[in-house]
Amino acid sequence: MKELTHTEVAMRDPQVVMKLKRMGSFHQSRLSFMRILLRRMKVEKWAFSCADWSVDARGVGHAVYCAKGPERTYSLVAFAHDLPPEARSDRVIATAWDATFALFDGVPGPEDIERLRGNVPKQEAGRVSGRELTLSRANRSVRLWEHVVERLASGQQPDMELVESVGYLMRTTAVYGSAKFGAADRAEIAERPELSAPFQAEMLTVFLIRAFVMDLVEHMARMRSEGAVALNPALRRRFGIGNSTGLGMAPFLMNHPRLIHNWIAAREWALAEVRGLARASADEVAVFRGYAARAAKNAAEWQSEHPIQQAKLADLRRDMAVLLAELERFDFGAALPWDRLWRWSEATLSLEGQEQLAALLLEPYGAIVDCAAGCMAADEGPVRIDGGRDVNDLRALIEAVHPDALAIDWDAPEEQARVWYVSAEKLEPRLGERAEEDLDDYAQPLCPARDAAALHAALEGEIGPVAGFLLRHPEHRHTVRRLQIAEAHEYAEVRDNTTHAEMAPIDLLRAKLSFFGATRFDPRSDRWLRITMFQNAPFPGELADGDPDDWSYPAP
Amino acid sequence: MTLDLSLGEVQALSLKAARGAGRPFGLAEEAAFATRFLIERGYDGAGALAALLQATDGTDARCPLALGVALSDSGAVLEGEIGPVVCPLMVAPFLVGLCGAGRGLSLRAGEGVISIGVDGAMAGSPLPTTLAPLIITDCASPAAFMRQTRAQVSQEAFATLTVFAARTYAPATEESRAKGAGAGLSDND
Repeated sequence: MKELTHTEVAMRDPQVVMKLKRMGSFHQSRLSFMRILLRRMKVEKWAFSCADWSVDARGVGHAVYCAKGPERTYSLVAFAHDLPPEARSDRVIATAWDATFALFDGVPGPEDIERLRGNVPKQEAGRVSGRELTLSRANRSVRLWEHVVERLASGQQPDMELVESVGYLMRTTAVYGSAKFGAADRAEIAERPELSAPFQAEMLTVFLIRAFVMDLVEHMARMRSEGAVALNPALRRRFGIGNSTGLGMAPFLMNHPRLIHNWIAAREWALAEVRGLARASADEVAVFRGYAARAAKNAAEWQSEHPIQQAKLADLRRDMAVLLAELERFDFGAALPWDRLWRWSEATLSLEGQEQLAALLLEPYGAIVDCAAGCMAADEGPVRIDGGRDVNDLRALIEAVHPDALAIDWDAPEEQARVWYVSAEKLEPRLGERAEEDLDDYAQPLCPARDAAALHAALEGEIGPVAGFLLRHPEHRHTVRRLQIAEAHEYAEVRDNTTHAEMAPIDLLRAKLSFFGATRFDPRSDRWLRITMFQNAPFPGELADGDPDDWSYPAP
Repeated sequence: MTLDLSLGEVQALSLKAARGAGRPFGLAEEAAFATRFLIERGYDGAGALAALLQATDGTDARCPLALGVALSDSGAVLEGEIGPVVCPLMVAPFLVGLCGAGRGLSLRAGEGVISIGVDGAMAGSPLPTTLAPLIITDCASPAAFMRQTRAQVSQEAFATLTVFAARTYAPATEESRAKGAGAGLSDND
């Protein structure tokens, strides 16, 4: 009887969704990778244990945390270090950290621990093996760390306001997975149900890091005083894991078009499904109202010192107030309530508010939308170019995918003001100013819109199959492949100019991090930001009795 | 002496190396896919790529990648002797898409012959790494293969690819250090 309860609502147009300003307003949702992970571990009754705690009074040593699922066990091997303050840096140029980690595939033996001890603390300068799934590191929030240790050592709980203002005791500065520095290839784990959704090994790593960090801070308090107390469990949950993320993550969105399409398409499908519901039950409306109020609270508590984010937060807070007021008078009894609410939001709310609503609408409908988590991974193997297609098809494809790019004067200095390149020093992506630095020889193809416009110009007067064109113009090969991918994956491409003078890379970072499930985006410049992960989430030992989804907004 | 690398590492290194050797980005991507493809099937893909980039440095004449993509794009197998190209082994990965259902293609060069199947199976004896003409003919599809999950790369090939890859990195300047990654506020809080 599905036709009686559901109206076909079209998924949003990629020309609307895949704009940088909107992508920079995405929020976590039921389809975020942290939530996908916790739901699975809850349903499958994963067992967690600290299998080894060998940390001394100075906080130096190692620990092992095991997560046991139905078929396999994964172990976080954590190394704790005594880091002098002057060596503490979140930037990728750092060479030492407060703690370093690897996620081991199985349960490590003593020889594995020793091998990892010789490599993991060195991070990029070390090597891991096919037995490791991730490599990561974290630094303390010095201010909050010392406060918490001191308070607990003296038998008191930490100051709630200070805890809230920082939100974490340690922040990761990189979580490397998928073949990096010798770790197992994605292909080796992609078929495992528990790791088939994107970034599950990385999210599990951070989930276990959070448990380790809280145990470590309590350990340090005990080492300082025999009268030390443990953290109050409710307060303990308020600590997430911070994360500093820089430009290195931005190219990912352009370099993984099929994967990005699958993420966005899953969420857009879910949104369209909910909008298509003919009726909403009283329970569903109540769940939605509850989450909307909590999202308003989240907007109120969310702090940032950066002017870009401050303006967005002002928008979001106003949007949430307007939304809550609208919900007071909204007629949920009439047909297609969610679609009507959605259309109202498009006419009324800023991008921040619209995207918050898109996430909120999924909350009452896990039974309908959570299955989309199974469609978010992608086969990223080679794509053979269909050289038999006519160049006219290619021309039409560019006009359909990148209409805005064809209207841009690419010779105007502001349109190509930026150059994406990789620096020799740390082999990390950088963004340069074309006019000020001589970087064109090192430019990475990270502006698909510009490249498509250039291809469109090169096709002027061309006839015949694409194969013939590429034989004469191999420089357009990458763009032709992208376009043929985009033809079958409509959300694959950012429909914006990623070399514009005013392009803010943090928009790309937020789009990706929202799919991780991150909250409290706090830009520190236009190209790096801090976030919080797993804040308010149950700890591993609490998951059996906890809700794998309820934590994603502050408690009412 | 060989290095144990993940397939993803070899693919990323191969992409940069081919780019550093002057291949357009789209062709460099093909080089990286092809290198990984060969390694997964137990062939020395990294050695082949290193040899061909050295032999064709500064030019893409006689390049098996250019031949491979031209064959793949056109969807047609050329009859008779073609080439010569350096490292004809690198042409093999591009033939998969040209195999008919249940049929294979054989690639003969010098004393060696390799057969490829539509499912990506590959078998046969080594092909020359030097300049050689090649002949592609129909054959029976080879039996299923055991996929390699790690890359054993010779230090020599690794060093060669690393040198080519380094050409893609912009020299660090004071400006890029200061602004390129957007540092600003203190990391210590």
